[in-house]
Amino acid sequence: MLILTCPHCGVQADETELSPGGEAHLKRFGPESSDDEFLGYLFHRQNPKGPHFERWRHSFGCGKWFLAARDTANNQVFGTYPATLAEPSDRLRERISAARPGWGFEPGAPSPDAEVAP
Amino acid sequence: MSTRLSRGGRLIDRSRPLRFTFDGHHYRGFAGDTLASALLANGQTVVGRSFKYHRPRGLVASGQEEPNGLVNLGAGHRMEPNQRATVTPLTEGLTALSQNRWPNLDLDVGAVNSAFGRFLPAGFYYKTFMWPRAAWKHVYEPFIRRSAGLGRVPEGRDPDLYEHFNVHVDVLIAGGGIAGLAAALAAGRSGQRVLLLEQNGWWGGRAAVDGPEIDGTPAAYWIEQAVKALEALPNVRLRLNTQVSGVYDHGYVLACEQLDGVGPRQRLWRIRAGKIVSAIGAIERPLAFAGNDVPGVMLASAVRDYLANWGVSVGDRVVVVTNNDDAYRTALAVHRAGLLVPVIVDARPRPDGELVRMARDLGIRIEAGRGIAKVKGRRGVTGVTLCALVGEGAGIEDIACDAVAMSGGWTPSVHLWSHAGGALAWDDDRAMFLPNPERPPRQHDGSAMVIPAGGSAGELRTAGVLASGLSAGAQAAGGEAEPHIAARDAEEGPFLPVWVMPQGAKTSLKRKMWLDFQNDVKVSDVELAAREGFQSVEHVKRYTTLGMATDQGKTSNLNGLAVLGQTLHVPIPAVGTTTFRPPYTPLTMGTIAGVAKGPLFQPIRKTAIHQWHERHGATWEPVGLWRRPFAYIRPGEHVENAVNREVLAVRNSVGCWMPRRSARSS
Ligand SMILES: [Zn+2]
Repeated sequence: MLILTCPHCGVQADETELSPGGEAHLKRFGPESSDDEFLGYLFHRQNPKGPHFERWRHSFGCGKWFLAARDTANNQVFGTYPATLAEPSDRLRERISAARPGWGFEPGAPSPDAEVAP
Repeated sequence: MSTRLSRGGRLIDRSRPLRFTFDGHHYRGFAGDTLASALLANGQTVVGRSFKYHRPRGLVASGQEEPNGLVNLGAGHRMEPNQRATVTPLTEGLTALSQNRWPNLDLDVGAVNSAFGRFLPAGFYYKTFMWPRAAWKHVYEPFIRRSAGLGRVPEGRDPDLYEHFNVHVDVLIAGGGIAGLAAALAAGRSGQRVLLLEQNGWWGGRAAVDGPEIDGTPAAYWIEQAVKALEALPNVRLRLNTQVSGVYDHGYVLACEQLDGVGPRQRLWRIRAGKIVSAIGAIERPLAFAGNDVPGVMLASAVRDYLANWGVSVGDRVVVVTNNDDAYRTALAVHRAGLLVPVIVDARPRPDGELVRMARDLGIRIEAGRGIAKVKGRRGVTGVTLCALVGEGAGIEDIACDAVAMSGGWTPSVHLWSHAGGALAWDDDRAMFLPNPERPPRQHDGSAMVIPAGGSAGELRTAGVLASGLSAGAQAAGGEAEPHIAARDAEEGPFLPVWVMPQGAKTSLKRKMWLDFQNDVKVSDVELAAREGFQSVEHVKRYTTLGMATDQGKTSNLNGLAVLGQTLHVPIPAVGTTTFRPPYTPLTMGTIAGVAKGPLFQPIRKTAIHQWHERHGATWEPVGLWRRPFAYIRPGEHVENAVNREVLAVRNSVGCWMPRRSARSS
């Protein structure tokens, strides 16, 4: 059961206080977009083994949305920040790069080709 | 035959006799006995039948790892299947039934499976019951269902109460052996909130049985002083009879406490811990030799546990078979109790440690470089045949005995390290999987969440156990390392990794070498699986059912890996290890549910006008946890009449429907 610190109210929240909201920093595509773009926005996710940016809502606390950077392989949490930020801060990115050399931030959905990789 | 000795037994109170029944027979034991020690004290060496071949089964171990001693405990509503006799405290009037036998333990119809054992190899069910398709429903499935499953399902609802505790601590220490006590002393001094949990009803683990010297005093005395010192610290909580069951993400831990007397029967501790010290010890490995499943063949450590803890001898003539020095402790304990050790069969060509010399000086015969070709006897050991370890198993000499104490070395219990993802590393010298400190399970801040100590870190000598306990406790509390605690135990010679004896055993012998006693998996089954192309241990496990019984392979997994590795000609770490999953031992559903059962499982939620509806004869329609009136019944009406009346009323005059959930309509 995960512990994430809510950046809004500062509470170290138990997973039971939180609702998951999937991958963070998706670029939204609306009715004017191409079919491929819309498909990617709806369905394509990075699902990495390693650092992952994800949305959480402090449902049974302050009720606000926030984002977390968590390693999906070992659950290390690099940081949490308000969902109003369009991108993780440089400091957070540096912290992740220091812990996972070679890692780089790639926002948005993977290209449609990515899904056929073995 | 096993019996109670007139002296000894540090855990029993001979002034408090207790009565109990096993399969309807009346027996006597003492307060402090386990069901297992009391059965042995009464000479009951056969306690069950094996799953597949229905072979007579005796106790193998003295603790949680016991594969054979499973009983139906209690009766009626309170009957519980698959309870390990070795960890069931004896109580006045306890009733237990053996399992997996029909009509009774002495005469078992299913034992015919044993005679046809060579026709029931690994994967038999997969291969045989495939076709014709129609036969599955009417022939195969009813047959398999009848022969499957250990134990019986209780009748009716569980009348007992269970409760949950929510606890936050800085340091949780799992295991109250000397490693755990040392860790608690070190962590306790820091002032942090420390919780020390021990699964047994006593502190100190095996130390009081093996009797090393700690801090210049006997182990039992040091343990007593350590517990007193810990009880005096306000920031340290101690609990006996509480087993850490599982370690989950970010320091979430479940532990189950066995309670007695009035009130709840079990308590589930839901713990959030900053750091977890895993000091849960190690489990002795059996050796694979023909007939190692005959009742009377036991782990060497268990034989001396029964002597020292409960004053029970497992036999008058105990042959010890080993590949390490530790089992000599059993030979010495048996000898000191005035019983006979006809021979110590040592697989090593030149055993020479302090304990070996002590045994030699006492005149105990030692046969080096030898193995056991086979165990004689069916319902109990009557003798063993010795052979050269390196040969094919030609008999050299028959030796009469009524018990065999075996030791294949020790396997560190790495369960709590592994539950939440800690990786393991193979130590070739000592032939054990150890926690890999490079890849620990992690806390949310990225730090190591579990710190292993003592036996579960691979430390088997007293001084090392204490040192690793102290450093783990200090590390967990973020404090300074404690001053060293002096300890003295016997110097031990090197251990020889021997898994199968003799090394060149013929197939006829391998068909009688058990790896998994509970699920009837033999050396020949694992070899067959390997020949049929199964190479991953996860596949072999499912094909043969090795390690898939209620004991989850606590005594069988490593031996199975070793046999698989030998068959495939690859080193053990290349075969891999299976995943350790919680719980460490089975939890009852009642404990998991706690108070959330019956009307409290999903408490009914009521709106502000619920009582108004009730007064007007409402029948209810469930809407989630809420209740909405379905119809208002007048005297003499059925639901249908009431609904029709309402429909007519709406049709002829006017109706009002509130389409939102009644929660909001209030
Ligand atoms: Zn919040």
